[in-house]
Amino acid sequence: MAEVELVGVTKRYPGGVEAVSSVDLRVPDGEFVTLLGPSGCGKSTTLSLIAGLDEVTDGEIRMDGRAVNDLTPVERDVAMVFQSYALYPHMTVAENIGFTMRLRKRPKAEIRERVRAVAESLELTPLLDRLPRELSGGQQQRVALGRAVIRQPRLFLFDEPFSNLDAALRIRMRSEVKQLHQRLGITSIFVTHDQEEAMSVSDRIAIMRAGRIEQVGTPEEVYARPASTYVARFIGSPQMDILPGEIERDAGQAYFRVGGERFAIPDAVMPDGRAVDLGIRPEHVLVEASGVPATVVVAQPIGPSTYVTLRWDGGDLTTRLPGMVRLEPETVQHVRLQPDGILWFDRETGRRVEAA
Amino acid sequence: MSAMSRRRGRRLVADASIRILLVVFTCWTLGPIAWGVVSSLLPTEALIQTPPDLSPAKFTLANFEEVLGSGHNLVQGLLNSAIVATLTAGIALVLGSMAAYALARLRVPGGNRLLLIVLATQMFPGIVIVIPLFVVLSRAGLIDTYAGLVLVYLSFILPIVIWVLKGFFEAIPPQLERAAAVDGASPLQTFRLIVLPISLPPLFATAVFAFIEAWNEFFFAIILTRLDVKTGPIAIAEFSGQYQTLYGQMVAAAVLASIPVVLLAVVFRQYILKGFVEGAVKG
Repeated sequence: MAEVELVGVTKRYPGGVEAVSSVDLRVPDGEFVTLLGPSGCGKSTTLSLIAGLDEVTDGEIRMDGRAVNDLTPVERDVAMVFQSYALYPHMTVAENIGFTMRLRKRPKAEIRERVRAVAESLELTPLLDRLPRELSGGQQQRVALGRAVIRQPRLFLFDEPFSNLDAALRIRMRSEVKQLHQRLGITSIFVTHDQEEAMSVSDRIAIMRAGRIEQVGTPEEVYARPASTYVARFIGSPQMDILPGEIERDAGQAYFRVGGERFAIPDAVMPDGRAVDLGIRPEHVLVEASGVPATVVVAQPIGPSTYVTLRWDGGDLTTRLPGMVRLEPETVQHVRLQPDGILWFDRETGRRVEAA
Repeated sequence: MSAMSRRRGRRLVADASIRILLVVFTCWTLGPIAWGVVSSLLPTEALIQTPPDLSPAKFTLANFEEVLGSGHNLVQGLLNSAIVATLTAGIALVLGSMAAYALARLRVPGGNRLLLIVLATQMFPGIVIVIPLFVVLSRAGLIDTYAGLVLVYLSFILPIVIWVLKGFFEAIPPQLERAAAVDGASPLQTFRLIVLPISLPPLFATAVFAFIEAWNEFFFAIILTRLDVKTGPIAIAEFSGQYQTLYGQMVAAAVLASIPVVLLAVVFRQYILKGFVEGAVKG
């Protein structure tokens, strides 16, 4: 088990492309941290750097305070699960799981015993003599997990481990990984582009953009208080709406004007009167008779709730209604913004600003 | 209903024409070989008649007895060929697989240029280099030696082995090797325990290719050998003399010389096919 720290970590490829730019991140011992971002944001490269599979160009990676830049993956004592499972196709399940101990020249009996115990915990016992190609995707993924857990590493690394699985299996594997972490308590770094996956398994999430970390926080923090419109849009489904508009005051009441309509807001004074956009999530858009009129564009019932897209002259919004609701397109609804759900973002920089 | 039966009829016709084409193709390829086997069983007098006398009474194993007898160099020639071809295939496989892996995976300075140079060596016709080669080998005392012949064969077989194997190694998902690195394997262990075992089919295929190339080679062998290391193809050619050509014996020798190659192909057939059929990993 280990505390991992990245200090100014940079990866530049020959040719000048900078995949990771000066990343700082501290992962305390036993924590489960997810690197989240779209493809090409540098999250997988960052993971390879932590694993020791790629060399850091600048900066330092530390484990328990000690620089490990020059150590191999084995010396760092990390275990990794890959997106394509990367099982050795010519070895049985048992040989795949035991390969790392075989390389460490452990006695055969000990390897057999450990493999048996790991297979037991992952429900792989009946499959031990099969070859990877005879297994389903989910079974292959569990073998990949088994290969990682057979030795108790100081650090677990997961590189988009579930993206090849179907939706139902993905959700089951999430809970298996989370239980595994709860049981073993080994520091884990998980890479994914799926925000829901990140929210559901992580202690903290680091959202990455173009090689940099945009925000690090607990799932609650990044959801409720995103640092920028980038994070706000990336976390949560459907997306947060970001409305461009102007703040107006009229007879002691503040409004936010978007196109032809204006929404009542708590009075908000921006530092240096800068231009801002208003961010709001569907659950904070309330349908009420006193609200602003808007026509229904589309209603999407998903079971526990229904997402409704509404449009007015110059803008649109999505709201969440409880339960399965049938709304005909082109009918008119009235909406209001829940005051504590309103977030402000600097129109130029996209950073969130606190209203005074 | 009639549309369906018409479609089925059309499929039957298509099926049948493919089969007929295959039969024609098979006859076309196997015909000369079959004729070779038949003529090896006939005495030369029966062969050179027009038309050849194919009466079963004439069939005899005399040609084989004669060519295997001590009067000819065939046995020694085939033995020499076997030694040269085995050495060539073995060395080409060991050196070629390592070079190909390095070029496919490791950062080799000037790797691409190196590959082009390797390919460029293939562009000279043998006739252009054979005289200088003879001079070099004779200065080095390598004329009429196994080492000399193997060296020359490697010079044109190794590049092909490298190019073919490099393609196969590049098709192996890099994540396999990264997984091995995380599991604690050194680059050499990764090569030996992961890459080589899953590359067995292409390795067998290239080894068989290298063996056959060296086994059949005639041009360099006739110029670079004299007596001791005379190979099979040359021993066969010697049945054609200044005053007469012993067709029956020559063909019998050729049939004997083909047997090892045919056996190789039959024994390794499933590996060679497997190389093409089976993908390494689901990605």
